[in-house]
Amino acid sequence: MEPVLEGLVLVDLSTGIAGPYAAMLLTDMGTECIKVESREGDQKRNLPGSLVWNRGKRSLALNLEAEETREILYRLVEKADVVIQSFSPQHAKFLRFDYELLSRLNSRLIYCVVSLFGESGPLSEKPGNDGVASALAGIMAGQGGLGQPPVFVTLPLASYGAAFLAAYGITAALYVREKSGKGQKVEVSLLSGALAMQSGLFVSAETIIPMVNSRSIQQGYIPAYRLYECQDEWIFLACGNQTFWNKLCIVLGREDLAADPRFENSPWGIVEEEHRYALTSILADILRQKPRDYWLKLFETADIPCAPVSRREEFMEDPQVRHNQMIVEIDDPRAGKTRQMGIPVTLVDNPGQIKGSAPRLGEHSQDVLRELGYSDKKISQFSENGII
Amino acid sequence: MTEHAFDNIKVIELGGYIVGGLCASLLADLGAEVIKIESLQGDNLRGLLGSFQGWNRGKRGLAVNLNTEEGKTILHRLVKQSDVLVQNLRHGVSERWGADYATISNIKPQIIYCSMPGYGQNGPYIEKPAFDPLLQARSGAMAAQGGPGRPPVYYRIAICDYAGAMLGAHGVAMALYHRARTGKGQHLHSALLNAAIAVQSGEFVSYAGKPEDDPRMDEWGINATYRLYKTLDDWLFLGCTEESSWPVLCRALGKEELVSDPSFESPAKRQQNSAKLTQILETVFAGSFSQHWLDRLEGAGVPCAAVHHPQDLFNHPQLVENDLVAEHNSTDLGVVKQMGMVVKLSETPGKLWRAAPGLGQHTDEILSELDYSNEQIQELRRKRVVA
Repeated sequence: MEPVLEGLVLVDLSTGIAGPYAAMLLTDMGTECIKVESREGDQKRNLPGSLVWNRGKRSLALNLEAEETREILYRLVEKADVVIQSFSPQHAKFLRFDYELLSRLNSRLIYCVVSLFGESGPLSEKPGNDGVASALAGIMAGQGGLGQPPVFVTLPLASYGAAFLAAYGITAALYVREKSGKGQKVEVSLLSGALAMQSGLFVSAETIIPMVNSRSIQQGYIPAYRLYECQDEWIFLACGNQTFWNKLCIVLGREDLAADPRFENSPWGIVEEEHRYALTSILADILRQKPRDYWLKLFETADIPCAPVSRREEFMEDPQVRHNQMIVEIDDPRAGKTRQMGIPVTLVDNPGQIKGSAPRLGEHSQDVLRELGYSDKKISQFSENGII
Repeated sequence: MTEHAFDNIKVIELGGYIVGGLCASLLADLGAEVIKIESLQGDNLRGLLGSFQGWNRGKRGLAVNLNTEEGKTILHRLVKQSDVLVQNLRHGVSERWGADYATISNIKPQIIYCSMPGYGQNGPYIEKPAFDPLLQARSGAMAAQGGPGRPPVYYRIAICDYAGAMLGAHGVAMALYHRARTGKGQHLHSALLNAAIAVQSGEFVSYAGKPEDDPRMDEWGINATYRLYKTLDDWLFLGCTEESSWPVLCRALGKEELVSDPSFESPAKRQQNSAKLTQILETVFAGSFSQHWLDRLEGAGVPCAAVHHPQDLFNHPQLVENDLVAEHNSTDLGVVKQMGMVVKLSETPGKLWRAAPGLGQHTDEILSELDYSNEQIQELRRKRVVA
């Protein structure tokens, strides 16, 4: 019953969201993670999310540019199974931390790069962040819809996508290593994360005609599959197939809608934009008449898919969320009691376990150096010289 | 040495939609041989022609009626030679089809069985139907995207489905790693509900004294320097977060005077006077073409981006150079362009096998591999067990 990745050592040099989050997913599943930071700390330390993305790790703060730091890092790499970094290709070379070099120190090393736009190509050295990657990769224009202005997307989806892909790629490489005995380089980017998060929208064929919208589609554009405002609050109605659509018409006492030729092929196949708006406004008028809970109860009894629009604070109290242990309590030495996400994937025989809170900057510098075989005298020298 | 990471790994996908479909495709990308099992009516999302390709590339397709005994036998014969089964069936269906973990692991003890239901393995909601936007709504994503006092917003990206698919693939890879070490398979599970939280991991954290989330200023951004702007011909995104970029930005825009303007002298001041600053920048950007501004900002090292539609990216040199665009011939749609290799492994790079299968496109081929004779296959077709 030990966590599936127990016994592995991960050195996380990444900053931002994606790399640290990927490292955290592996840490929850048993990997021992050493987070290597510059002496100023990970730039995202000021975000509340960093308490989550760095939980269970130990922190080693180093002057990354100093010559003596190389030796410390190389000693770490020699005993590591996985390294994650997010340097630009040029910077990795400058720091002498590129794959070619490290793989010679440790042929079993799995070296994961989480870049912004990829290791090659015209944008490989372009500065940026999640917003830049999301805008470039189509997420913001896609949210607006063809024919409409783009919309800023608040969730850092490119970063989250890249985090999941990195965790996946690293684990696949660990599997390969069991057979081949060799490590390799794993590459993901915020760009590839953004594409993976919209693989269904990033498709083209001459036979597909993209749908252009003449009005905003922010509350949805399929009448039976969209947001509606009830008397008091909003709900999402999700009649995702014809059976659900027919049930809806019956429950609303509006069988005429199911028979109306304008709305034939509802939910997905109402081709005329005008007819979609007509049906949307009919449904909106009906749903506005009664409060949210009235509709939720009615629809749930009839097995019509629907859900209340709630806030994150409310969802944290949700009985199914509790049941899945998807919100856990972790004591943080600075923030106090925190509530944060649990472990999203359960391996029944080898489940993960959250190891603890996020480390303070450099909290474990001395311990880690001692484990690498440095004497106390040497460690205080490092400290005096501003290396740690 | 294996050529692709998941060479010789055989995967069965049952359920479809986005989460099951994409999870299995991600495994196929790294070399697994995936068979997508559909009912005779097909995956419910086949109607979304293009998107269906994006969720189902790299597989072979088998259409079989699992409500029949002969259909179940086909599934069980397939399970005997498979390594992984991925399913996102509605609660109760797997038992009806003889596809639940107990039955499957009895037939093949080393199986890695990945379930990704809407809400969980058990608990108060498991009977409810689940679609991605219902989890977007419940989990707070829609309310937060809309912003306080404004209507909620429906994410056009099925964020819970996509996150679930990737987490599922990660889970399967972990279980394969474990099996390579111990010879043992196992059951692993996630849920759209879990994915809804994982795709908001930085937002789902609370503690006393936590700073308020940056409220979205309007539909176009968080504040004046992290925002979409309309130019003379198009839109661009300005992603200026570092304090050191501020004077550089002002100079690049020819607005040197803003650097010394006391209303904007610190991040706090700029946040406080965001509306005023936004107005100034809107006027500046509206004065010229996107390319002009992008050249200037990029030349000065200010983070920014052209705003592309997904449809505009197929020839983008950055994507092409990084193998992020792939092309296949599909029986249904002809030549299809879509995303390429989103995870690159240097030694075992994976493989873009093929476009998404037509409904039952490989039924005969797969049944012959299971040693069904041509006559038996014809008989199964005639009885509407397969198609």
